[in-house]
Amino acid sequence: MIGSSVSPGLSPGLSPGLAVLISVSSVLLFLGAWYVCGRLELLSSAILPPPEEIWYTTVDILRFGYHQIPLWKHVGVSLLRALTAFALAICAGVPLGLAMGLFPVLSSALEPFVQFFRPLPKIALIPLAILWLGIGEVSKIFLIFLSTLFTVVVGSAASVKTVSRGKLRLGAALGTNSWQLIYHIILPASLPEIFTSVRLAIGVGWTTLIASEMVAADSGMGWMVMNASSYMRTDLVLLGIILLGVTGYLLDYALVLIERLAVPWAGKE
Amino acid sequence: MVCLDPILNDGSFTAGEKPPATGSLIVFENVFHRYPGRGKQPPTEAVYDFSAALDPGSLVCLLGPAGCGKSTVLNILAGFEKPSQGRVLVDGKEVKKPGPDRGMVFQESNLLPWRKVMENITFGPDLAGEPKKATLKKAERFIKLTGLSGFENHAPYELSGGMKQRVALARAWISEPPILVMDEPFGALDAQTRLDMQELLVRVWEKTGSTILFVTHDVDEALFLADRILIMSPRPGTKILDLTLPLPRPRVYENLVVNPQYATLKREILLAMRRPDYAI
Ligand SMILES: Nc1ncnc2c1ncn2[C@@H]1O[C@H](COP(=O)(O)OP(=O)(O)OP(=O)(O)O)[C@@H](O)[C@H]1O
Ligand SMILES: [Mg+2]
Repeated sequence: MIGSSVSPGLSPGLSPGLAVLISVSSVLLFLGAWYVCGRLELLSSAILPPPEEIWYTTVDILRFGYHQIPLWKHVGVSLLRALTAFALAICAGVPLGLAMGLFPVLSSALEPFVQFFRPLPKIALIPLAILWLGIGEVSKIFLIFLSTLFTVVVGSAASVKTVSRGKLRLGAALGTNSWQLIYHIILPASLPEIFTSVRLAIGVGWTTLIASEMVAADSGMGWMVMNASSYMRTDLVLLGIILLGVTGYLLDYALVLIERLAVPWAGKE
Repeated sequence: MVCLDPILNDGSFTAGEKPPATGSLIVFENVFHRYPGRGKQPPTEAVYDFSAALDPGSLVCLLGPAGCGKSTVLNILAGFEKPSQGRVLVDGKEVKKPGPDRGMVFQESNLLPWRKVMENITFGPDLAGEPKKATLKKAERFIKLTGLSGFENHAPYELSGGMKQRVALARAWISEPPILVMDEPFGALDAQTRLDMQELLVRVWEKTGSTILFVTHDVDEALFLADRILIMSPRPGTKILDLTLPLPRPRVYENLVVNPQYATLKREILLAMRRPDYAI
């Protein structure tokens, strides 16, 4: 019943098998509806190609590649750019955010810059990125890095504030020095929040992929979509969109799995 | 002070009086505490002229209605809050900050979910860099004592509320601090578990000889545990009654409740709690 599953954690929820079954059926239902629309010729295939046409395109691209580059290379190149940027953003953003959360002086000093850059549309930075870093991989990675970084920083800084006063007091009562308090209490207690902000940030960063591949690229999923659209290849555009969406989905799922291993206590206190 | 029975009031002194400072391990000297109000709200007077001197090795209960400032008094002793006036001395030295000489058991168990039960218990010694082997040996003793055998490697979120509280007790006890500060640690437990825990507390206290300040709002709990009960008025909390209990030990709860002395003491406490002005 819908009514009994509204509040998370209170009702037992669906069994994992049933949950997957419902999700799969809803996707199949959607594809079926799409197929029927195509069959009835409700939409011209230039506006919305039916699923089977996208399937043929996929098979074709898998065999011959797009612009002489195999499909897996387009996916791989994009992933490499994004993952490099994510790794750099996490390595820089988490410590920086934690430091801002811990030291108010640092937070006050950096806050204006962080809040200026975080909502800034990163496309606006493309000219500068090209000017400073050229048209190679570095400027593409830099754009994704920037859009990921600030969300990670803000989230990590905020995570420090979520550490309960009880835990901090416990640490103090047991005689922790500052470093012990950070290492044994604040860091692990912030970890679930940090994971949440990293997931959010990667979502934001992934959306910047297309923008970054507008910078003189000749491969990548984002570039493929932009390039195909200039030839009115709606089927290829859709294929690219599906690939971008599915890869983003899988990235997030991988993070969820890592989170489950790293912070098994999240939400269980 | 209106005394129903002179023996009940020995050792008491009223607000404003200078407390005796010699021979006591913990001394509250005319402690006031006011929490600043947020924005336009007026400040909260939480504690008003609270004085008391606790003998080393005694088990003292701080008893008072909800919101009267009991936790505030504890937090000042623990060093988490600074009194707005007055001071607290431990072993003759003014309390400035928290420290491992005052073990804390909080109202919530405050276990660290990323540490297993065993690691939670050994957290204090681990921080102090004590040798692993000796620590584990001590921890095993407290695991047995608190009835947590078999749960050493469980995560805190896999325990019941009562078990969590027992882990918190073991964690505070393992370092054998000279002072134990306990804030309604059994408040959330069922009657049965609560009795078990109270007996356990008394047993360990008799063995270790630590000085305990135990906050509760349960009159029976205070009567079962304490050498001495300090009763606070509703907010702003001040001491309205200071009872030294003549009840012999070992105390058995079932026998205690039919002890006429127990009934008299309980009546005295209830009267004071219902009519604060009457007791002062
Ligand atoms: N951090 C705080 N900021 C502002 N006011 C506070 C704070 N902590 C407590 N107070 C106020 O001080 C008064 C005493 O609070 P305290 O927590 O000491 O009571 P208590 O006797 O421990 O109550 P309980 O039995 O419910 O735990 C209350 O009126 C409360 O609203
Ligand atoms: Mg309290």
